Amino acid sequence: MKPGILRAIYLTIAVVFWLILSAYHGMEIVVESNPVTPWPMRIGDLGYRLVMIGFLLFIALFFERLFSNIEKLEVTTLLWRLFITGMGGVALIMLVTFANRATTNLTFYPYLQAIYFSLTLFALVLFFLSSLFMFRRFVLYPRTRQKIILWRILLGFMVAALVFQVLPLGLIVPLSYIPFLILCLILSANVRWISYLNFGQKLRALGLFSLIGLVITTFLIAGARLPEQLGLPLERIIRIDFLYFAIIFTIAYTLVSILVLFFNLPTSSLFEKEGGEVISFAKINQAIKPDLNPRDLMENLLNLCLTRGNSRVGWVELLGEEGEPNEIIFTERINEAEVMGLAQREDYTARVIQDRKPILIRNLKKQGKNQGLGHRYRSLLAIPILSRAKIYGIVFLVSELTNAFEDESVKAVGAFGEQAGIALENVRLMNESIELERYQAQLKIAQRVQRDLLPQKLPQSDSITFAARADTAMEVGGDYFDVVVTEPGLYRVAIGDVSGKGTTAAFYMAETKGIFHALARQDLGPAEFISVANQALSECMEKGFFMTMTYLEIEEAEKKIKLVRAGHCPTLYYRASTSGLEMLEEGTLGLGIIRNHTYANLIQQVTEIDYAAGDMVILYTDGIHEARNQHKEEFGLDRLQDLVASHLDHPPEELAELLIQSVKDFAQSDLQDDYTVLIIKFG
Amino acid sequence: MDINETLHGNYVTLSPVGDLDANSSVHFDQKISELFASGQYNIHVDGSSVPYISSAGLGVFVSHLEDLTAYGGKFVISGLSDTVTDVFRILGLDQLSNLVVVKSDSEVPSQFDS
Repeated sequence: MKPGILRAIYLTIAVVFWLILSAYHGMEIVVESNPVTPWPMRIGDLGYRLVMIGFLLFIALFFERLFSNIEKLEVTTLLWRLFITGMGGVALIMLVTFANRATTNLTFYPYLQAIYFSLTLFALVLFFLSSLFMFRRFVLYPRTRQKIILWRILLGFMVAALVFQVLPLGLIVPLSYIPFLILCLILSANVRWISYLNFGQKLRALGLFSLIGLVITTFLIAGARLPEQLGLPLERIIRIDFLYFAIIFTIAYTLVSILVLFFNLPTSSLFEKEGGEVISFAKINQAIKPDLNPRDLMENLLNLCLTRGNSRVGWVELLGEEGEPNEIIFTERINEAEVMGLAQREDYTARVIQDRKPILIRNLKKQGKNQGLGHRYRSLLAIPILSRAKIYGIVFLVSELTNAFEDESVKAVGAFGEQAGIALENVRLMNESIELERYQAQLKIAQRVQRDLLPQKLPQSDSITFAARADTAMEVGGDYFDVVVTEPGLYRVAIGDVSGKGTTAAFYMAETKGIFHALARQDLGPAEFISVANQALSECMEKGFFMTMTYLEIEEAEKKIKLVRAGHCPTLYYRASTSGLEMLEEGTLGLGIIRNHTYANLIQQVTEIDYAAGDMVILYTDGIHEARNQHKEEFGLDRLQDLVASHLDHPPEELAELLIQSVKDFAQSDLQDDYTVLIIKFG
Repeated sequence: MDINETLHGNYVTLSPVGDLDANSSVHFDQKISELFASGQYNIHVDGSSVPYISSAGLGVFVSHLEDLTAYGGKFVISGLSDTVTDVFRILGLDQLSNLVVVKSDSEVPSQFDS
């Protein structure tokens, strides 16, 4: 069933009960005014009470339903509704009083009396029960379990009062007024809603409660007088404790509310200010977003400071990156030219920057500053916009009055400055971290791309095994190695190292790959290969960069190696026939050092080796032997040779892994340089 | 990095102190560029206080080689540790006529006489 229909049913039933009540009243009055009439109606005493109970109960149910779903506590709206209801009742009572006087002489006056009486009762019940259930929303703000229980006890009292109307229980009902009164006072203390009102709302609520108080008084006076005017003893007719309880609660809650509202009025502006500050802080914090315009923030800040400092004139000086005075913005009731014209402004700016503290001048004239600032203004407050690292700007507030700023305002405005500083700092950090994240994402891509530049799979044959391990100190690096098979049985191998580390080196490494692949297909011969590579790299590398490279051609059929070392670390060669390790040191200048034809004139020494089964070539970059430990001691070539010598039986893959691991163990830290190991084993 | 500069007749001695790596080499490079700009192409680098030279440090020498060749100047580097000397040698810089690594300072003046 829709709540609206239910309410309508309750109201209809209540009205029906009321009509029956009115009929009773009519008969009662007839009986009273004509004592000769026998007293059949008196037998109906119990019936009368039952009808009265029905009437009260259904009115109560109606209002309980009507006010049960007030979601938002709109204090003034609700009080206004209650007051209007009350005024309607008061108007009705006044009308009845007037009609009563005017109709005394009519013959059917007694019947009119009954109607008047019933109408008054109706107005009374309507107002006090609506106030009872409306105040429930006020009491239960906010709802707590304890308060709900207390409220139910209160309703319990009222229901009990209804029941006792029918039962002859004598003393119990009058006695129950004492605990009920206590309960009313406890519940009336729940006026939390007042603390959420601002000054204006409190004033309005106070006014409305006072008016409601007047309505109650009118009701009580009219209610007390009317039976007398009508010639009916009050207690005979409406001695209904249920209604009395509702009246008592309404009076108690109204009185407590008026008192609390009244005593809360003077403190309200302070609370509002504090609340305003919290909101302002929140506003500043909400302003923190990556694309924050510092000017918007400053404008906001200045307005807050002006409001909080009770000042009308102010401006913000923004400071540059190095803390130097930069520009003046957002002048309020003062223009930029005027600010610039104020003679000692710069002194104060400098002082704030130096001390990182607010400056409060209570009387500029006393400072002997009659010119400039002091000419027009008497008080000055300068607040730094501070973060831990720097001063972003200074807020200036000035006033034509002396002693215009109190210590308390200095604190509050100072807090704004700090908050704004933190906001700016956070924005800066946020932007930095966003940028950093972007770079890191880009570097990750670069890293992936670079890994793809290195051979994913090395060639393999019955008599030759390749194994390689490589890593970079940063995301990307300058080490390069590659193996190209242009025709069966001819392997072209290169290992190289671009000077420097990181991104630049990585770019040149990528170019090297292009050059190597292009030249590998031209069948140049090792010496020529190196000098053409020098030329090609010289054209693409920036001045000061160079590259070292070792280039090998392995002819599987002839079991021959041709090797050229261009500035690269000497190749380690293991000869199985003699069980000896040797360093192939012969070589020439690194690539890109001499960038003209004269490079070709240098002797391009080609080392030729006839290899045999069991021989091994160990190529590496300087990240291996130049790796340093905490004592700045280098890993060195000797350690490398010893390691190889003692693990000759290891398969190339395992040996490469072992070498890398040994270097890492030695350095015991992150790698300082890129490293590569490439092992070729002949079977 | 601190770089002392002393004029000796026909050459200038630069005495850098500390590792010559990616950071410090910028300063070192600037110093050499200044000398070149003032017409001084004979430069002696006293490496006795340079424990380590990274590839970026080597790049400083390499980047000025062309100018040296064009103007007939020379780098003479002395006092390097064996490890650092090895780095020069492995890179093949010992094949250059205008970049000479010598053992002791006493060999320096004669290098600039020719």
